[in-house]
Amino acid sequence: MTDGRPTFEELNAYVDKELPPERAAQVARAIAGDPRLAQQVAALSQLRAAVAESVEIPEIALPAPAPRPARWLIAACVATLLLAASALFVHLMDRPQTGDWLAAAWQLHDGWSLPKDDPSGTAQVHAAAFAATYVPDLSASKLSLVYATRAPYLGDDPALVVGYRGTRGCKVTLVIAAAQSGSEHAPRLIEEPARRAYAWRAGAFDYLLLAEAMDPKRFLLIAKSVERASIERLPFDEETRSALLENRRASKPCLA
Amino acid sequence: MTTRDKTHDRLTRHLGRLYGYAISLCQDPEEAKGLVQECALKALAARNPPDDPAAHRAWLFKILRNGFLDRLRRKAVRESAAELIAAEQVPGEYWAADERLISVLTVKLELARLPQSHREIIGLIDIAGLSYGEAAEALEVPAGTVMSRISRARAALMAAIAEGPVRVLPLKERKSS
Repeated sequence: MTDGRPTFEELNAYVDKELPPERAAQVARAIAGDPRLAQQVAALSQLRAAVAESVEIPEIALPAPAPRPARWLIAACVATLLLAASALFVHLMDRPQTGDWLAAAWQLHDGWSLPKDDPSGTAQVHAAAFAATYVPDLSASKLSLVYATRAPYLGDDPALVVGYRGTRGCKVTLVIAAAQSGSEHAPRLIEEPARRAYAWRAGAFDYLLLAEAMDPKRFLLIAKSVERASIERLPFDEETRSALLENRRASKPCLA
Repeated sequence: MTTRDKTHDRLTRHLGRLYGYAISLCQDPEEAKGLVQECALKALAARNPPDDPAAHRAWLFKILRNGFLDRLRRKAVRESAAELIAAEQVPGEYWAADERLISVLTVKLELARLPQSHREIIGLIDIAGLSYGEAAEALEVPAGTVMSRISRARAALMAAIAEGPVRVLPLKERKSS
């Protein structure tokens, strides 16, 4: 303020009721004695009102908060995952022989059950190794990460095996292994009686998602969503999360 | 009432305002909704949110802003975080205001054309209804900076309206049309 005359900033603060009381009273007196200032204040007030009205607020529902898993379980999963990813990364340059990758993957799927109470193998982590793979959060489809390990896959080559459990009997496995030279690149769905697999390649890795007795549409949506996210290396966007949630609501429980 | 319940209640009250701020940042209704949802998820997952209502409100807007900046980074959009705090030229201390030109339509048109830094502060103060103190908290700047920014942003908006394509017709012309 200069010689008592309010600055433009002060007029704004006056309209916003942000001036200290004493200064607000001075500004009010100045406005009362100066039609030009009064016009400025009237315009500012009208602008504020018009701005507030210019935005249409849609109906927005709060996302349902997922129940918080036990801390030890999260710690165990993350530690195991990081450890496994680290080990996998180390083997990246040493490429495999051929083998029945699908049968091997189903073996890995069948080989895990619920998480063990013993969260072994803590924290020897190589951050870059973790960054090299993409492990999706499938909570939007009500699937919780419950298992992660490094396991031999084809020959001595390791794979990262990530297990998810649903609340209605679903069990999903994601197998991530270094890309096989000469193997199929194109995404493909492999359907067998009561079980499905979806394979694709993202960067330097081959991904294979497996589930038994899962609603075919649900499985395909999860697979496609994970495929896209693994290629973009981004978490699911809201649209995908909503679609996964809606799809899960509409699907039948897994009957395995 | 648990911490999460309290956050849930407060979020419910502020959803509209958060959306208003989000739309002022990204200008896309779907993305704005996504930003609000993302913000809500993060807020609900927080273990120690601020207890004080004003601090909690500012905290929610800060979460939303950080989410937006993360998206910008991910998209590698050149309209970066630096642009958000870029100083704009003040178009004179006063402007030749004519409040008859100000309408929701003109504001809508011109608001969308403003630089993001102006839209953001207008979104926080005029749409979301934050106090200068709360906006300062959300933006992590002093309250005095908020006062300067909002006056610059409004001046820019008024100037844009004055120069924009929408005009209020004189009474006579309106009658004859």
